[in-house]
Amino acid sequence: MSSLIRKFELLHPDSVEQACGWLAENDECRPIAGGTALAILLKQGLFRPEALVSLRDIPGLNYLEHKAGKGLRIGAMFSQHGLEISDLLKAHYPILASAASKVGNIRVRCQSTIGGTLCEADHQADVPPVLVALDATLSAASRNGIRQIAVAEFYRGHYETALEPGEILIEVQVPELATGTVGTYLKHVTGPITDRPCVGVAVLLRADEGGRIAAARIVVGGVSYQPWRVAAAEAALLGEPPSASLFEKAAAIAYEQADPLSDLRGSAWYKREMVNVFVRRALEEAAEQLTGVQS
Amino acid sequence: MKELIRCKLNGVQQEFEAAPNETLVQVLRERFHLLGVRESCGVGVCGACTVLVDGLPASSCLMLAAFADGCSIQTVEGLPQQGELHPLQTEFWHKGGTQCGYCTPGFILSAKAMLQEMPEATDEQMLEWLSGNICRCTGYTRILEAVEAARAELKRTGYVGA
Repeated sequence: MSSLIRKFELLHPDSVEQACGWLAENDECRPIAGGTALAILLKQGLFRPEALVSLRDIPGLNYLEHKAGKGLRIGAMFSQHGLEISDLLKAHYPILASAASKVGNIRVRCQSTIGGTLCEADHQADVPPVLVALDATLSAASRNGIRQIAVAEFYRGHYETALEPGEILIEVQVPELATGTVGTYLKHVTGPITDRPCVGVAVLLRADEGGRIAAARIVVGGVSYQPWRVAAAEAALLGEPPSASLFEKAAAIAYEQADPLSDLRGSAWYKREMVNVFVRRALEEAAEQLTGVQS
Repeated sequence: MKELIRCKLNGVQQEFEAAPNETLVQVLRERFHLLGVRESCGVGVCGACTVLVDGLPASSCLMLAAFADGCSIQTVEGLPQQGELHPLQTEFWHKGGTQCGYCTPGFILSAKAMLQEMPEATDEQMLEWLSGNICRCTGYTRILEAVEAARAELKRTGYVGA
């Protein structure tokens, strides 16, 4: 039955400045957005804050905007369900809508936020690896102003981000995708479909007029505390025409370099095997879309 | 310090106090006696605690009661209109989509939200949406049949419900 959560104070800032101020003054005080991940930790007694700063009443953090040539701006409080159903994302960044649609179940997608899933810094998450593949950047606000952090540099360790005390994430930016970019996100689960990923692979590909791969991104989630960009596998693709053997080669490089952690959803050796399988499959799936583009 | 929560609950404006460390499922059951909302797994996986918040499904076991402030909350108790069951309720009953009944409110609310957002949901979309609700009794087939039958009934009657 319901475990009792330890008492804490719930604060309701009406601005980012006020929120940052309270957080900076007391490091036993943490932010809460959707609250799904934190509620579990609170109920288990793993998280015992003196106070929580609710980000829900702060105006201007919940939006999704796209400017042609400039890219996406997503407010940190935008829900993962919002990402899932966005026609804008389906048209311009389908890989992001797709990854968001695979997160947990419909309830957690409705309750949780893009800022929350980033700041939770759980290595078994679907959206962060895709944001790394998309070269996304983040805006973090504090009493001193706003600074930019590349998503690829956002993770410092398990459940640990680059946010400083007194900082909150306020926006995610995704650059414009070069014309002809295709991609896919594959989520491999060892539990039910609603489970967190054991291994997730995000792939982006773009071909030149000759049909050779001109750009590639391969990012693996679930194997390290942070999304793992497999630069060597990407490099092996460049200048080559897409083919099954090329993708096997790239997947083999990922397999070679993978040094996964073990967790409840897979042992290190199993995850390594799955890296091989799913990097190859993701490349094949993405490349099928290339054929469509080329013709 | 207590939180003052003003929300619409099953169509009725409510104002109540809750401690920050109370979850919505606790308040709905203990304060409002809405026993159709159950805490089962406690981690948002099983769906027995499903409520609709502004029309969208939420795990009330993972929602601070304070977060209901300003929202419209619906539980299964809020579905009947003038004493008439909602088509989803009728069809779960008629199609045998309910056995012990424990998961049923959660399924009904999830299905209601789905039919609202995706009236033409394909089989695959329906499975995906409902994959967050677990049933240990029925084997799911009759649940899906119930939702299909309810969809047909909602279309046929042009039902405008809660």
